[in-house]
Parts: sequence; C-alpha cells; structure tokens
Amino acid sequence: MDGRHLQNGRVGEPSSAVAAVVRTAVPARVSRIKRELEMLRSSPPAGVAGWPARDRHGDELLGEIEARIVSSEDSAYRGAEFSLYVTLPQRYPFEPPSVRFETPVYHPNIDADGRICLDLLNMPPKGAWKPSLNVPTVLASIQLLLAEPNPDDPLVQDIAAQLVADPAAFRDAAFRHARAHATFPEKPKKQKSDAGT
Amino acid sequence: MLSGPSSYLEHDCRSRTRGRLEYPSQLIPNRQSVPFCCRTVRHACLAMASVGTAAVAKHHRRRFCVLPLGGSGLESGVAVCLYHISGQESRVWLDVHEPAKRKAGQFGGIAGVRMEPALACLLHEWARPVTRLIRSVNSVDEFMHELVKLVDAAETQGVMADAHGAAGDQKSALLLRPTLHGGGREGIVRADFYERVLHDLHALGWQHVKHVHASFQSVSLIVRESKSSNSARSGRELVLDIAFDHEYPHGRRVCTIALPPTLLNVSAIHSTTSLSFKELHAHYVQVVDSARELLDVLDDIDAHCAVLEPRTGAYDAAFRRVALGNHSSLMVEFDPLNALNGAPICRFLGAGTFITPLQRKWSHGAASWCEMAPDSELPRARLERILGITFERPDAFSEADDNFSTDCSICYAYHIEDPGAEAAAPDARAGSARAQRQTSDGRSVPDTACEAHNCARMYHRACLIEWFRSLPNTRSTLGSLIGECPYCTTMLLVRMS
Repeated sequence: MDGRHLQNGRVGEPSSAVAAVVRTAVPARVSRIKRELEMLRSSPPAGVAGWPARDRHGDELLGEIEARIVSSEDSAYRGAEFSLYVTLPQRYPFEPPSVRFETPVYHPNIDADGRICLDLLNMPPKGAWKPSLNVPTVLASIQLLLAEPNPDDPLVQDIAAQLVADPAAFRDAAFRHARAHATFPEKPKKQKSDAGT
Repeated sequence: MLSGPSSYLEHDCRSRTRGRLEYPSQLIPNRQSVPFCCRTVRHACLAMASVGTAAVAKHHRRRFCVLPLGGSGLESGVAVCLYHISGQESRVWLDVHEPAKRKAGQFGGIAGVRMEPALACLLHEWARPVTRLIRSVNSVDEFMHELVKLVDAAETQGVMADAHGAAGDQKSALLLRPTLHGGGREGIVRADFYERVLHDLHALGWQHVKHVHASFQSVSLIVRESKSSNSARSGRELVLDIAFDHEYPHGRRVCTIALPPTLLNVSAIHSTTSLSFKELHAHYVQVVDSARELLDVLDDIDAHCAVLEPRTGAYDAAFRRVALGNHSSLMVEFDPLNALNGAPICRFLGAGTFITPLQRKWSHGAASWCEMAPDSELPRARLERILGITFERPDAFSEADDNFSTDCSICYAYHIEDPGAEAAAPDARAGSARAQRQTSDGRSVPDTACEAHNCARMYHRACLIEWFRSLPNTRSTLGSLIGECPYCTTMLLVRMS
C-alpha cells in the first residue's frame, strides 16, 4: 500500500529502480526534498550551490541533487570548485544523505572514489546524523572539512600522515591536485591586456 | 551658559527612575538625545559631566572630575576622582539614594561614601564633619566641593591618622568606609585617560559618535562619505570601530571598518602611530571616499538583483552571488581598486545545461569589457548585456514564505499522511479538495512540541517515533518512547498509541 503513493511521487524515475525500495519509503521524504531544494535556491550557504539532478532525457530525478562547493580562499585548495552528487535514501530524513565527490580531491578524509569520512554522514551511534540537519547544512559542513582536514580520523592514510608531518607540503600537493582536476574561475588578466591593445 | 557640573549630576541621579536620559543641551547643541544603550547613556552622561567640569575649570583650579562607571568597577552611583593640591589622585565612590516617589526628579541624598584607603586615612579624624556633610548637601557637586575643602584642611594640618587606629563613631564608620578595592593602586586607570578620551570625542563632535563601550576601551564612530558633486543621493554611512588601551592616544589600537582588506591596505596607517579620534576619523573618511566606485557597483547590484550572498549591503566583501533562475547563480568578484572598469572574476554555479552557454558567452564577451562600454554603464548592466540575460530581481524570493515555526521540524511539512492510513497523494498540494477532507482522518498535523523553552520546535508524533525507532539507544517504557529532541537534545517522551 505504500508502493502506490511512492510511485506517484517518483515521476520521471525509471520504474525498475522503484521496486527495490518501495517498502521502506517514508512520506516525509517528499516534503523534505521540496523544501530543501527551495532552501538551496533562495538562501544557499556561502559558496555552496545545489540543484536537482536530471536524467539524460532532461527529467528531474527526485531525491538526487547535484552540488558544487567553492572552497574558501584560505583553504589548501584556494577557491577551487568541486562537484558533488547527493543521493537521498528512501528513509531520508531518518537516514543520512549519501554524498560523494565527483571531482577528485586530495584530502585525508576523502578517498579516490569521492567517499567522504564525516560523522554527519553516518547514523548514530557511530555517526552524528540527525533529522535537524539537511542537505544545505551538510554541504556547508563539507566545505568546512575542505578548509580544515581532520587527520585524526583519516580515510587516506598517506595524505593524513603527510598533513601531520609536513603541512606545507600537503597544502602544496593539494593545490597542485586541485589545479589539475578542479575548476577555477577565469582570471580577467589576459582579457585586460587584450583590451589594452 | 555652563553653570558647572552639578546640574548634570543631579540630572543623572534623577533619571535612574526614568531609565531614559536627555543630554544637557548646552553640551551637545545639535543632539538632544543620542542613541546610546541604556547603561552606556549613564556612563556617557557622567562622562559629559566631566567634560563640563573641564570647561568650568578655566576659571578656577579644577579639583575633581566625575568618572565613567565602567572604569570604576561600580554598578551604580557616582565615581569621582579627587585631585590633591600636590596633584595626586584619589578615588571616591558615592552611593546615591533613589529619590522618594513624591519628590521624583529631586536629588535623593547620599547613601554612603567609599574612599581609597589613603584618603580614608587622611580623613579619619574628620569623620564627623564628613558625616554632617553627607546629611546636609543638596547635590553631588556641592558635596565634592565641600569634601575638597576638608581634604585641603586635613592635609595642611598634617593630621595623618593611622589606618588601624581607634574607630570613630559608629554611624560615621558605617557611612565612611574604605573601598573594597585591595588597597593597591594597580588596575586603577588614571583619570586623565578618561578626560583625554572624552575631550577627543568632544573635539570630533558627538554627531560622529555611534556608541561608547562601557569599558571605555572601544568606540564606534560613524564615517560618512563626503558629498560628491554628481550624485544627489545622501552619503553612505559606515561604522568605524576603534579599540584602544589605556595609553590612548598612544599604545595599541585596532580599527575595524567593513571594507575589503585590499582597499584598506593601500592607505594603511601603522597601529602604533599616535592619532586622535579626529585624525583617525578624517583618515577613514578618505578611505571610504576611495571606495566610492566599488560601493556604487555593489549598491547597484543589491538594488537590482536577487543577491544570495553575502547579505545585502555588506561592503567588506567585494563580491556578490546573484540568482540566475533555474537553481543557478553567478558569483561575481570585483577588483576593489578598479571596480567600474576592471573585468570582474565570474564563477557560474548550477546545472551544466544552463550554465555552459553563459560561460561561453562570458569567455567571449569578457575581452570587450573595457571597450565599447559607455562610461555610465555599471558592471551589472554590462554583465546582463554580455550574457544576454536579466538577473532575477530582488523580490524573486519574497513569495517563498517560511512556516518553520508551525511545520514539523523533521519532515518540513504541516500535513502528513499517517503511516497507517490508506495512501493519499504524497504531494499536499495535489488534489487539495481531497486533502482537506482527509485532514480529520487520514492526515495529522504537528502535535508534539519540544519542552525546552528556547527550542519549542513542533513535530508530527509519527515523525518523532520514526526517528526514535531508527536510533539504537532509544528507550521505551509503558508504550512510550524516550529520546532526544533532534535540535536541542532535550529528552522527549512520545506515546506510541
């Protein structure tokens, strides 16, 4: 009986995906998604953007959000932009969203597959997820994690060891890595000289 | 005409019952009342009295001045600095009676006097006259004038009683007791510091003063943009916070004003250069004037676009993030030193399908930023022309009303289907006629509130139960679940029936 209203709610989703998750879906999910997208649209956290993901036909995927985080200028990544993908589970908000970096990041708490080690993204007692958190606040926390890596709870041992032993080398490596993979805004300097001639 | 500080002191004592103070108009001609916070008004008013004292002192040698309470460690009453003939300072603290109700507006009398130990020793033999004085005087000013005479008499007679000697009569001892301060002078700020600060604020003009902190260690000044010839609009007002130590105008000083650091660094003055408030203020008027171009550009964006960050009217950041519609936004950062004509740095945030064409247009158009642009065209209009779009207007989000106080804080909705009820449309807006009918049976409204006063968030019982069941450490007793409020962690008890 839960299945019927779920199918109604998940317009545009391939129907095969629905069947597996029908049982555990909660009604709170739909209202949460709607409100959180509105929050991302009208009052996003500083340096964080999020919008509904679309499939290749251009239809919105309910519960999947593409996001972009602008790292702060004082972080090791010096204003680089990173893409992320947020998936809200069927039992959201009673379960944490799953967030993954799509842009490779050189960071002790983010592995090569973009998985993030952050307590907010896990259920208690191991983690600290609560329904009082939401996608905007989680993205803002990840932005903070970029600026302040936590070497005490590492996902990538080598980078954590480097951060502890030689912070300057870590910052250098992180910035070079970001230069290669992440996006930076176009500097207007080149255009200025063009305009001058 | 200045008639001496007494009127202000009485004024201050009276106003304790009213909670609001008006400045004596002789002292601040163009401001009858200044928007200080209530406590600070008291300090400032007392302070003004000391400015008044300084003014009268031209005619006869000044022998005492009133101190701001913030520097005296006193919660109420009047703190006075008494100058000995030798030039030494002593502190006297006066407790003042609340005036009786029917005599409201009059001097209520002195309740008690505390003195620095040295002064208390000096006046030990004179306790009786001091007590008589306390009972007879009609103002704080009169008391201090008389006290100065007694101190002078005591000093010329050279009567130095031992501090631990015989006690005077009991009543005098009650009224005239040494201060609670440990006896040492360390930690006591010299009176001329306060006078210097007040004198300089007075010289600057009180219309430029926004706030004086009770500790007298920081002031907020208003810096007005000087009028430009070509703009009719009134000048912008920025707030300059100056924190200083007791060495003012020398010593360490920290100035803060909400402008981009690059702009401030151009004409930075060293923090140890000795400058008065007036000189500092004049310097920052120049700085604000140099920022005019940038502020014009930012104001134009704030007035015409839906700004997502920073908050509207923030001048300390030289960037704006404006909404473009379709969940996308543009972060545009200006060169603070060349905001009008330098090409800004643009970041486009949003779904690729929407953003990529704009990025392409920008890469092509940015080269012609300086060319072909009429001087009068502000960067906002130039960006719109290059990108071929109009930014969302400031009112774009006004219709999005937040019902966070009444909605359930877990599902962010007001109505929710009871998990047990027969399924209805998940979207509350779809089929509103049916939804209305089902409110009584199929849907529930937030009915459980957090007990904590500062939280008091509302929840659907079903949502709380669902959350508590997801947690491993939830306890259940007699058909109820006990768990923490997701926001404030207060313990909540929810019945499961």
